[in-house]
Amino acid sequence: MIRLTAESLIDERIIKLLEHEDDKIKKFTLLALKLAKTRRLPTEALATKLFQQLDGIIKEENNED
Amino acid sequence: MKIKQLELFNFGQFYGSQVIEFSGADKSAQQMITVIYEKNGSGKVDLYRAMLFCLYGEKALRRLPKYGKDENNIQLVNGVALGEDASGAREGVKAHVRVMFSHHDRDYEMYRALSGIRRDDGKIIEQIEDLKLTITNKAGKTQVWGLAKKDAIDREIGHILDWRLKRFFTFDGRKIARLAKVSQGKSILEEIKYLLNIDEVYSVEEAMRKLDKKLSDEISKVVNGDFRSRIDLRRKCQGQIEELSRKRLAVETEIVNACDERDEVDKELEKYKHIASLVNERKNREAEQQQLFKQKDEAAEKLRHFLPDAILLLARDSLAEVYQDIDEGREKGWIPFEIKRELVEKLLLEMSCICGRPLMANSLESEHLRQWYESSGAALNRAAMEFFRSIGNTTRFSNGKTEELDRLLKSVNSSVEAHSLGAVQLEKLVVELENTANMDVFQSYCEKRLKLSEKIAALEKEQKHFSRELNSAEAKLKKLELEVDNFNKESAMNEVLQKKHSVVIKTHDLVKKIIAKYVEDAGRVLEQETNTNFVNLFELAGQKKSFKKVVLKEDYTLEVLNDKEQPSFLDMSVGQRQVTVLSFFIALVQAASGSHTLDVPLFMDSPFGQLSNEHIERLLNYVPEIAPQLIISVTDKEFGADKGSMLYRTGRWGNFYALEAVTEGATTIKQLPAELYG
Repeated sequence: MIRLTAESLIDERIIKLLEHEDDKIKKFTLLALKLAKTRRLPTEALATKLFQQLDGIIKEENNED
Repeated sequence: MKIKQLELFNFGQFYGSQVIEFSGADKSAQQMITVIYEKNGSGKVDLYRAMLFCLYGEKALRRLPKYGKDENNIQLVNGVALGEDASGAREGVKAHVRVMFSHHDRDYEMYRALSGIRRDDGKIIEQIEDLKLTITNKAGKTQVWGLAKKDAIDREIGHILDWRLKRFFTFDGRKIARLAKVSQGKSILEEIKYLLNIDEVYSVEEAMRKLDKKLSDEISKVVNGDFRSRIDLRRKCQGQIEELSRKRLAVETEIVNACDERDEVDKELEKYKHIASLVNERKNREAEQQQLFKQKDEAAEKLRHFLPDAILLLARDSLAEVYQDIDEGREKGWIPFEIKRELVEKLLLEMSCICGRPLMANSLESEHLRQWYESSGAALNRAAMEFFRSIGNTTRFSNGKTEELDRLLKSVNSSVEAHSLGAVQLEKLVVELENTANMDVFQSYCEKRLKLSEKIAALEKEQKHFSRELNSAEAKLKKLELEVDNFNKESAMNEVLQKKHSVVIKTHDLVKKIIAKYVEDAGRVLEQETNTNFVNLFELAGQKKSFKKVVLKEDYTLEVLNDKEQPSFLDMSVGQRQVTVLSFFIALVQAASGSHTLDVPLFMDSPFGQLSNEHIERLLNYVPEIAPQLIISVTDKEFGADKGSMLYRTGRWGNFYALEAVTEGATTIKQLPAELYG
C-alpha cells in the first residue's frame, strides 16, 4: 500500500521530528496543526488564534521554571 | 472501480445520444482494453470532460489547487443543438452525462444533467438541472439520491474515486512528451504536493510567518540602536523574500497555465491540420519565390552589366566588313601609307636610298622625301591606324560574346518563367487558403500559440531572475537571523516577547521540516514505484542493462542512472525518456489510488507519442497487470495498421469506437470491430 496522504497529520513522522524539540515547541506545533486541521481556519484567523495561545505556552513555561 | 458505460446527450461535441460500452467491466473478461479512435479532432477531450463533469461536477479538465481556471468560459452543451434551438423553438437545450460503473459488488449509475440556451446577444447561459446517484447492492436493493443529497453523493464518489485521481484521470501523451524534454522539477514537485494533500500544514507555515512578522514588529518598537536596526533589516528581508516568493509563484503558475493553454491550442490546431499543411506549403512556396526572384534579379543584373558589350554586337558585322576592306586594301597596296611613311622615315633617318645609295643632305631627293613625309599628315595616318587597330580589337573582342549573350538571355528567361510559374502556383494556394473554411479560426489559434510561446519564454526568464534574487535574499536573512539571535542573547529586555518570538521562529522551522519530510517521503515512494514501472517497461533485451534506475533528484527532476551510476537521462532517446516519464506518471496514479495495483481504470490520451513499437508492446502488456481496465484514445495520425495489429495481438482489446464529426460541432460515436486489425 502506498501511503502519501497525511490523514491524521499527527503521524509518526511528525512525532519523530518533534522528539528532540523543546516541550513548548512540541506543544505549540501540535496545537497549530490541530487547530488547522479541526477548525479549518483561514490563515489570518489561525495566526490570531495562535498568538493568543502563545501567552499560555510562555506562562506555563515560566510557572515550570 | 470498473466503468461499464458512458452515455452522453448533447454534451460537448456530441450531438444527440451517444453511448460507449467499456471492455473489462465484466469480472471474467479477458479483454479489458477499449480504444477510442478520433479523426480530425472530433471530441475525445470531451469524453474525459464528460466523465469529470458527471462524477465531480467539474467543467475544467484539470484544476490546480489554489489557482483554478475560470470555469465560466467552458461551454458544455452541444453548440449545434444550441444553434438549432436558437433558430427554432428557443426553449433551451437539455444535455446530460450518465456513467455506469461497479465498485465492490455494488452497481452505480451517476447522472448529471444541465441545460443551456443561446441568448440573442450570442451569450450562452448554462445551468445544472439534475443530479442523481443510483446504488444497487449485491442483493438487488436500490438506493437513489438526488440533488438534495448532493453532499452525500460527493462523499460517496470521493470514497470510490479519490479526488486526487481527477488530476491523473487522463494520461496525457502531450504532457508526458513535454515533461520528457523540459525541466520537470516544478511540475513534479507540484504533483507531489497535490498528492500529499497537506494544505493544513502549509496553512500553519503561513500563520507562523505572520506571527513572526507581528512579533518582530513589537520587538522593534521597544528596542533601540543596532538591535532595532537588525530587526528592521531582518523584517525587511523577510518581506523581500515573501514578495519574491509570491512573485515567483505567480510567474510559475502563469508558466504552468500558459503551457496548459498552449497544449489546448495545440489540440485545437490538430483539427486544422489540412490548413496547417496548406499554410506550410504557402510558406515554402513564398520562400521559393523569394529565391527565384533573387535568381531573376541576379540574371537581369548580369545582363545589364553585359549590355555595353552587347551594343558592340550590333555593329560587329559592319565593323568586320570595314576591317576586311581595309585589310584587303592594305594587302593589295591600295592603302600603303603606313609602309610608305615608315619606309620614308627610315630612309631619312639612315640617309640612304632604297637602292643603297647614300642620300645627300640638302639634295633634291632628300628634300622631296622630307616634304612628302611632312605633308603626308602624320596625325591623320596615326588616327587611321588606330581606327584600323581598334576595328580589329573590337572585332576580336566581340568573338564569343554572342554565346555569352545567349546564355545570359536564356538564364533571364528561365528565371522569369520559373518565377511566373511559382507566382501562379502561389496565387492558387492563396486563393485556396482564402476559400478554406475556418481559416480565420486557424490563424487566430496560430497567433495565440505564438503569443503564448513568447509569453512562456519571457516568464521563464523572469522566473530565473526571481530565483536568483530569492537565493541571495535567503542568504542575507540567515546572516541577519544569527545577528538578531546574538542580540537576543545579550539583551535582557522584553524577555516575554523574545521568548514568544523564539518559540514562533523554532516552530516555523519545524513546520518547514515537516513539509520537507512529507515531500521527501512522497518522493521516495514515487521513486520506488517509478523504478518498478521503469524496469517493467524497459524489460527488453539490451535496454535493461544500460539503464539501472530512476532517481528523483533534490530539485525534483527525474534522472536515470546507467550501470556505472552515471546520469544518462539526457543521453536517452526521446522515446526512452518518454518511457521514463510514463513510469513516473503511472506511479502518480498508483500513489493517488493508494496501491501498486490500481482499483481504477487507466485512461491514456495519445499515449504512443514517440514510443517505439517495442515500448508500446511492453506498455500494452504491463498495464493489464496493474489496472482493471485500460481506455486508450488515439488519433488517426498516430494509430495506423501496425499499432492496431500490435494491440489486437495482445488479446486484450475488446471494444473499439470511432468518433466521427458528421458536421462541424456534431460528433457521433460509431462502434467498429477490433477484428479490423486482426
